[in-house]
Amino acid sequence: MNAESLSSLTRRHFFKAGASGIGGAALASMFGDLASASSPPAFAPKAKRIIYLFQSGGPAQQDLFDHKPLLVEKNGQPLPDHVRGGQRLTGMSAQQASIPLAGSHFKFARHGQSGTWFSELLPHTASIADKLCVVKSMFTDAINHDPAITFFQTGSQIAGRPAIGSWLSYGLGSDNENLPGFIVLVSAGQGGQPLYSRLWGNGFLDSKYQGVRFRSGKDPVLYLSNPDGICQTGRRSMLDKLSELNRAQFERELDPEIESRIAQYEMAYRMQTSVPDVTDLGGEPESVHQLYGEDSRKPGTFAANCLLARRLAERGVRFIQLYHQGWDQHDNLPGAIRGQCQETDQASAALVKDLEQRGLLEDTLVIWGGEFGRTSYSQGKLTRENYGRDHHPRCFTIWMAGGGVKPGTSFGHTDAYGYNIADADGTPLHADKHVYTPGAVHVHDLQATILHLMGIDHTALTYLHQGRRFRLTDVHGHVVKELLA
Amino acid sequence: MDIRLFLLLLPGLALATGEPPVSYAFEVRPILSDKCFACHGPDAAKREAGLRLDTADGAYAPLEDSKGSAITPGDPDRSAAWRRVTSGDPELRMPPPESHLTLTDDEKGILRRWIGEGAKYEPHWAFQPLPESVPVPSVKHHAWPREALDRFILARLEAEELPPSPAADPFRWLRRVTLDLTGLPPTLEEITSFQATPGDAAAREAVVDRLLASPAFGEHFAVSWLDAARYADSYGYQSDALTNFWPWRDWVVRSFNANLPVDQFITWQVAGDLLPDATREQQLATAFNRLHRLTNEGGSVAEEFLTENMADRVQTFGSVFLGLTMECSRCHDHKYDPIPTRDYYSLGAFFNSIPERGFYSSGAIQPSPSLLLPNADQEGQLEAADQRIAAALAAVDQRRGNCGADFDSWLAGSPEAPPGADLVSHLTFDDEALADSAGAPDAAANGVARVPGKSGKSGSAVKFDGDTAVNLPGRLEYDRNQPWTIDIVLRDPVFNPEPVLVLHRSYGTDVGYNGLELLVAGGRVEARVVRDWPGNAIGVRSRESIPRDQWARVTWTYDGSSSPEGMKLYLDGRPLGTEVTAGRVWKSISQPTHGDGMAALGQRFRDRGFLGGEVDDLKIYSRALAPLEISRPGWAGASGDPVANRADLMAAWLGAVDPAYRGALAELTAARAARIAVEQRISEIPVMRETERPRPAHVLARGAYDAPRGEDNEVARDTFSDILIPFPEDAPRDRLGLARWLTDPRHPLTSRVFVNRVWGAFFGEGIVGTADNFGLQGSLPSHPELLDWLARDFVSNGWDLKRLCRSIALSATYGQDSRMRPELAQRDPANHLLARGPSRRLGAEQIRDLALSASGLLRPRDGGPPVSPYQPGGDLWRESNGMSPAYQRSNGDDLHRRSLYSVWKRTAPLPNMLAFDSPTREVCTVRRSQTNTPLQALVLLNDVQFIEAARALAAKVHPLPDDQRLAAAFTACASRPPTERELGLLGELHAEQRELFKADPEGAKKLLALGDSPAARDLDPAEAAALTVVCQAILNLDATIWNR
Repeated sequence: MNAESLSSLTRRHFFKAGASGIGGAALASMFGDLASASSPPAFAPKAKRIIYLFQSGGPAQQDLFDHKPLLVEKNGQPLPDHVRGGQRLTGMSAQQASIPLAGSHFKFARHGQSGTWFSELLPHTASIADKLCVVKSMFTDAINHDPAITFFQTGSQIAGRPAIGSWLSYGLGSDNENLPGFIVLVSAGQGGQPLYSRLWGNGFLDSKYQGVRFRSGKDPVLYLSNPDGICQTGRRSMLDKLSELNRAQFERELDPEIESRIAQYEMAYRMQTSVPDVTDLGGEPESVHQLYGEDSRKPGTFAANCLLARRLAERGVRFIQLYHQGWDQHDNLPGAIRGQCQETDQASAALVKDLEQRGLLEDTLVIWGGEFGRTSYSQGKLTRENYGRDHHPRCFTIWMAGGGVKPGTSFGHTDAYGYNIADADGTPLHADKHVYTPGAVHVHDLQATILHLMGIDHTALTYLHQGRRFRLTDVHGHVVKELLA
Repeated sequence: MDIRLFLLLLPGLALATGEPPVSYAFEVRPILSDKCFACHGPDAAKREAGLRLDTADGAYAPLEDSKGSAITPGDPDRSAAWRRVTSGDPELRMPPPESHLTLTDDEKGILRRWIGEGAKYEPHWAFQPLPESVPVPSVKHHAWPREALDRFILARLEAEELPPSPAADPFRWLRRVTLDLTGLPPTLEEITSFQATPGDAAAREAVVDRLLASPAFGEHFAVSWLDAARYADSYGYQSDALTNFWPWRDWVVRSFNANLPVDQFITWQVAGDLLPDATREQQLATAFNRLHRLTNEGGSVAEEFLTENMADRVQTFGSVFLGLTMECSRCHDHKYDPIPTRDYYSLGAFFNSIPERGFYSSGAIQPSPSLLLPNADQEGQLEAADQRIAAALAAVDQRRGNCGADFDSWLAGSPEAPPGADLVSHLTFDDEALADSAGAPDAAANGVARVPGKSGKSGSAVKFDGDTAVNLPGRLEYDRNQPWTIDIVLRDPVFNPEPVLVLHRSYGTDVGYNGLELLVAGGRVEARVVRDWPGNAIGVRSRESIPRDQWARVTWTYDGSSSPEGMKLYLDGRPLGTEVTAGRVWKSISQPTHGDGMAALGQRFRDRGFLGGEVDDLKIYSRALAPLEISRPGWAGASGDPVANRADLMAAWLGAVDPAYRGALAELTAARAARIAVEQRISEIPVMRETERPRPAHVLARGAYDAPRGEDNEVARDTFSDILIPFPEDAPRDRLGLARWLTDPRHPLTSRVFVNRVWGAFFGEGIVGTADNFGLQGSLPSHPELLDWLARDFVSNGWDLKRLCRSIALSATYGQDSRMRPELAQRDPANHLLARGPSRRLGAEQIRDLALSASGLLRPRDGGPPVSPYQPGGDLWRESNGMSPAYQRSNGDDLHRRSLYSVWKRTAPLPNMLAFDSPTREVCTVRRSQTNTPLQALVLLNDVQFIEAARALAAKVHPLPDDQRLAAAFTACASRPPTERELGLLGELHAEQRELFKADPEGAKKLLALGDSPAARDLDPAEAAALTVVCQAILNLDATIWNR
């Protein structure tokens, strides 16, 4: 029996053994297998790739997007009990003797033809108001960072589930055979709430679906560079002999895994060129740096990562996950949030504009948001100059652009206190993840909608693990039709 | 069970004989379970149309919403289920389209035949008690089997008419058995010496016995147990501080090496603390249930994480010991296995009753309950410290006993209270500066309001808003060896039923404070001395309330004894009856964790402050005052009647006046301080320790920690009595009883699950492929009788792990050649039938250990704290986690320990391990995946660890004659000599590289400088570098990183 037929036999065998969920796509590997390995999606995808600008820590919606004049009017008065409705607070402000409402210090205005509200902190984002789909009625299950961000990125507060990007790699394969399909970029030196490899982990899926973290500097991917003293010629000579040696082993053992290993070494070699190529921003013209801001010249900044994200998107990377830490403003919010916005506002807007100019926005979904929102009351002392906000899972704001979402939209409402999801008249909706509440968008609803935009039915992308078919959205989630273009 | 039935399960296998009846267990239930039970199975809440198909009663019963029944035995056409699965109408067809499940024609055929043959149900194989004995099948090829287990494999192969593979050549066998038993490759000497033997049974036995006796055996077998037990060296949430769990890891290694019978290995881990006169090792083993993740994130809700801890213990227990997935049942009845939610919480009730808080407060403090693990030196120091304390106590007693004459002479003089004896702070709050009349630094009001106090106009009090503290710098800076008295005049108009903070001196945040604290809840006063509440602390609470909204003088005396009996509470000078809220404390209560640790009144960081409360007067003494000193300040009038008050007066006099007694007390305080100092240096680990009474357990709706709890949903401790064997009647309802149930020789799952995992350690996959799931959705055993035989044999022979390993390692099945045969590639590519030997990629730890071992870098040393090998990039621990401790790379020998000892950080695991499919150890993992990615190639090619190993291997073979070097390097890694072709290729590579490095001497120098271990001297750099690259290639070979 020759190697080829043996390999295909074994492949069929594994196909059968691993068949679950949407089937053939499950075989698509981190690299290669290209789209050909993927089964046709359930319906035509609107987005081919995602750039997720995760704002870790929980940006304060009242100071950025969700305009609440009542809070300014009632500044310093206690949050009425009927508004709080017995909802739990974190252990940080639960023991606080009083919880005074804190009006935002920042001015709000409507922008664009859509008249979407933004605060003065986000002038660049406001300038693309008509391209954005702003969702003001997000809610989540968790109230602490670690469980909340884990829930957002993996669909479960409990560790051990695959990240969204891993699910998509598993479901759709990769469009670039020289780069991973799921790449993670973290702003350097931010501090703030920790991030963990769990957030881009493969969970129970094969480790080839793991997100690969790119770093700024000499080694964008760990172990990418040849060791000191080994040149590319030397490396090539070694790899050629290694390949021959492994082939000799294959001829004796007839195990197709050996062939696959030989191929992986070739991919690793190609990555040694393709990764530095894509991460080198040196060739970007001056105009691009002006668009993204001065920070984009400094490797590892959020702006540089936004620019890198665009380059990765151009090369067909399926899921590009950015993280920017530092939004956890329990105290000194007015000063701190201004700094955060200066780091993120221009580059976030630039990314959307840049993608649009290159014709990529229509099939690239950009998402901007954190793991939860912040309270309308002040944590710690409220003074004339200062306030802080605690974690708030009951309502918060994110925005999306491109990739099949409805531009120039503002979806969902909160009550006049900015404390509960409400209908257009401000009457609370009592959103509950167990019962779909139109107008409210649970994290699982957002995940279902993201998968839908990628052409995947969220109830069909499953993986059989320990006897159970797991999915990103557990047993929940609804596609929010109102957000679709 | 009929062996022929399983043949149907394997693709490409056809039956030679006529069609046997359809098997429910092996053919029908897998279909029903996967496609039907989610809606028509054990979960009563989600059952559609009231129909359940997992029981005969349910399936044969009349349908609720239409005529007939789902299944009419013997008559498919009169069975609604059959009509529905074949219906052309999508509205009617089962499974419904929205389930994304479909039945194949084959599956439908099986269902039709099964119904036609009478639709007989059978219980699930894995839930049937382990048989008392299992017959060993007879085989035709008598000469082949070496062990009884071989006959099961061979009988099956003979039924298939498949011959087994020939025996592996001696090199292959030696490498395989050495790697599988020790995780390390055979040394060159071991290879040579085995080659010199006849390679017969006796020689093989000698090898296996040598390997089983090697300490590397325990180190290797520990790895998968650490995965299962989710062992790690960090807590895993948010800041992910480092744990001190390693003594438990070493216990696992020791237990495997000592061949601790596995029933005891299990019992100790589940319930070692409850064994009579539990030894330290037995208590240490119970850390198994404390290895789960733990958070210290501010703002976390304790009850939520207590629930998570319980859930993790249940899930781990279920996966590791029972091979059952429990987590589904947390929120609803299991959809596939007959495990209702109630059973889940009944099992959880065994694990919820230890004095734990649900968090850890800081990396510096081990979460309680915990166990001190002094080494021999420290044992001696503790003993010395205890002797000093005992001597000091005796001196105190002695002075009390012989003080009569001195006391009488004092009485005869002018017996008066010494003014302000040992008063170290006195605040009246009467002046704005909050000056201290006893000379302590001024207090800081921070804007806390001053209001008229008890004494009216002249005297002021402070009134708290609950969010602001009055700071008390320089006071109460005591550890628990130091006595004190806190005397405070306060008023509480609120009577908050939750404890509010009156006064403290502590470090910490809302996830845990350490220090001393005075609380009041609904008027009841509680005094605590805390290192880690509640398991490492002492506390007493008054049985009666102070008067509401009235001025009350509360006095707390503590004698430095670290015992709740040493704490007394008084109300207006009168002793209060108290109850003990915590009873044991060790190590320091002054451990800097968070904050400045300063004493304060009325509020503490993120704690519930004394909202509305007032304090008018505060006195602090550096001594436990005697009752008389408290009831009669200034001893007013007591000395007027020295006869009636003699005992009280003497107690007061001793403490306040008598220099001899005070001297003895000072020595006692110093002796206790010395004991704390010794304890501070002692390793400590969280363990299980049962509370006096079990905490109530409830079925939590949807698994939510804040679901209502009441009498109606309270559950008692129990096991799955409906499906498995009953809980032993005479066993206590605690973890010890649970362990007895688990290790009962008839238990259907424990031994099968364990033996299956051991089998998997040799063959790559267990007899049940889903080693983590023996439930209805798990895969079926490839050789069910063999599994039962192995389990029964294991139990009957004392749960002897090494005996089991020995019989597998010496079996003919295991000893076969593993090369793929064309007919097997067609009929059994995954090697379920074992017509050839096992082959698989080495695990992450083995790959690194092999490189270290082959190159001579490996430094064998048993156990100890984790070591930190090379990490690429910057500090991967802190690069996106500013709260994490920094990565501090080890030096010297610690760079080259076995990977088992490498530090495991749950949120940032070692990337070269993760690349080779190590789990993150955040949760229990019973099976690792085996993938093949370009990142693995990058690790092996570019990780300094592997380059250093290649350099060391090159240096190791360099002294050999020219023509032996390459072969020796190859053999060190692949455990066999290279073929001529392989040697030729290596030689060509060597020549090419030599030319390159001759032209680039700088490059050679740079390459040879990588890694900390010293480079061999006197080698020609170009030659050494070229040889290094050749060794690198060898380390990357399939022949090296696969075990075939």
